[in-house]
Amino acid sequence: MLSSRLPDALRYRLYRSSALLGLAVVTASLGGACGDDVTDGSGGEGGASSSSSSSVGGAGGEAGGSEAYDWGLPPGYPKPRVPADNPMSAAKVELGRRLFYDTRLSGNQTQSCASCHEQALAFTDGLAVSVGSTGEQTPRSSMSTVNTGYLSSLTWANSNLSSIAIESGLLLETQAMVPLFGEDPVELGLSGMDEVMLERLRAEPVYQAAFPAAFPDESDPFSLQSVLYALAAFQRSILSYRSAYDRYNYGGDPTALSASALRGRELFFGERLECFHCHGGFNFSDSVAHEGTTFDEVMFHNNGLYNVGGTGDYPEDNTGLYELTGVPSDMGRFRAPSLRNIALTAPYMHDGSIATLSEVLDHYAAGGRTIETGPYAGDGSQNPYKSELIAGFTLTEEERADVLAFLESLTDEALLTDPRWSNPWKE
Amino acid sequence: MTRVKTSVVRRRTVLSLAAGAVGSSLLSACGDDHSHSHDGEGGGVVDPSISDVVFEGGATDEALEALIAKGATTDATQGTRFLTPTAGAVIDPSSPVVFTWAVGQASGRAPLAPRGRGTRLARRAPSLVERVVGATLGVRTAHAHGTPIDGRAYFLVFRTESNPRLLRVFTTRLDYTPSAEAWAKLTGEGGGPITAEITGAIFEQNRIPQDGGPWLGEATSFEFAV
Repeated sequence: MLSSRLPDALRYRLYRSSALLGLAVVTASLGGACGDDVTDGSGGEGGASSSSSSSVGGAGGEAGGSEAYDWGLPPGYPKPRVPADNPMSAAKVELGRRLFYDTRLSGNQTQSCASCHEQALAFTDGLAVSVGSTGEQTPRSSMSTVNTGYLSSLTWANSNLSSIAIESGLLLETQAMVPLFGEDPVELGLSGMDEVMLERLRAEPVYQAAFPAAFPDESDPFSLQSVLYALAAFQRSILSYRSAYDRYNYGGDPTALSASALRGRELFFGERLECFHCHGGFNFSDSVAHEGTTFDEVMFHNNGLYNVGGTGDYPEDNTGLYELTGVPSDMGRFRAPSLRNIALTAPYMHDGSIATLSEVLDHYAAGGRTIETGPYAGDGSQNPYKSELIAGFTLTEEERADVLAFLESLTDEALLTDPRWSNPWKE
Repeated sequence: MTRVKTSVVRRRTVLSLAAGAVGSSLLSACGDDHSHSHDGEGGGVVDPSISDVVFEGGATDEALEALIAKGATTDATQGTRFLTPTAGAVIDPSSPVVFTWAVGQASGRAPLAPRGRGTRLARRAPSLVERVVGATLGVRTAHAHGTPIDGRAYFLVFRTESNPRLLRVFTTRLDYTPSAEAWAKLTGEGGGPITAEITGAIFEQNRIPQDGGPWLGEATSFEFAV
């Protein structure tokens, strides 16, 4: 549901709203020029980086107080970075949880954020591409909202949002406007209905207490900014840190990983498979920032999924970073998503065009995907914009099973039923 | 190979920023940025080298340097304790045994009794190159061999009364099986008890965050059957 498209009307809205939100975003970055954060072009690799803004705070204190928010994380585990303008509080997170599951946040009141981000599926929807509230298909697969508080870029390929993250830290706050108000495609379908939505919320007795509790310093806590800030706080709170991998790697529990998963770990982090270059670090992604980091790295990659006509092209409606920049070498470049809970988030890739994890391994083993016939026919392994890291490899059957066992060890079962992130309207 | 591939990505990032950025601050933030105090804080014996250390499980020398540079403390919930071999075990020297351990409560055993404060590791002195580079650029040289560590890693030291560095291992795993060469080191010491001790820490891209330790674990001793 997290579309990365920014139609002109929405760009204007984003710009206008960004100003309202106090974002230090320059017009150029919203206009899609991306001159600051798209570089390179040699081999389909590259990204954006910048020093962190001083407007980004630490763990985030209680709204209106100094008490630190309890993330529930074990010692040594990175904490999400919190924008100074939107500190975490239990009341704000709880409000955000209610909003996340509230169908009043769609124009026709049929969908909520959770419609495409189901907790049981690690906050994805199990579809190849998500479907908006009016039935319109988006071109891309719903991304997990787990650990988004650690990301320096959101959606599959939106460097504009990366710029916002680097400038202000209000990444989740700003991104929420895309599914809420986007018109191409329509997701939640609230374009032009800001006040209608707020009226709906004002009429709800639960919110009449929850909004003032979350935003005690606001004279009118019922505002679009409050909605965005609460949603962002809730999303920032959804953290995955209790997988078998975490119990071994952070908890020091030798029984947590099987021998097969341990062998898979060695393969995953080894040079033969190269997985870790794009899916490394604690969050298994290369576009990560958190409390204490002083450097925001944002990377986009062409992984050889397509090579339409042998020219390096991707399907016309799904060209990745190129869609915003128009730079030829940005063709087919997408953000490497976190692999946490990856066993639950099929189908895979930005367009959901690979059904299973095993087939994903096939794709990378071949150094790209070959499509024999049809409108997208082409040998992805020969895509001229492909990342140099997608070079292909061979695996024995045992090694294949080991890598899959490792990937499955990234599933956080506790996350899937944790009441902190479940639907409060059913309680 | 590791260094090359990793550096390709890192270097590209740095290059992409070079036009509009101040070199020293960016270099220091490019994955090689843990500060390296040269003030001798922590005192103790200077560690001249880690060249003898066996690296396992993708552990990196940069992370080990970070661990050695920071004083270890004891914490019942964060320190390790050996699961095998058991304390006081008499081991058949004919083939290597597997050393296994767990962290605090993860071992399923009673937590360690506190040992008091301030058990500290020796602090490693900066190399000549590091001193020169640090003095001129304000940064230290990179030693990122392999993918940076995120999560726990363990510095396992085997020692005897006469040899405090009989064998040293740095690993991200919770077990260690000595190679033939390492086993020969252990068995060739000529009798007497061998003590093994682990200092563990939680790393974040090879650096130790504020609440990441390091923590000194409970030592164990064993002997070889004659």
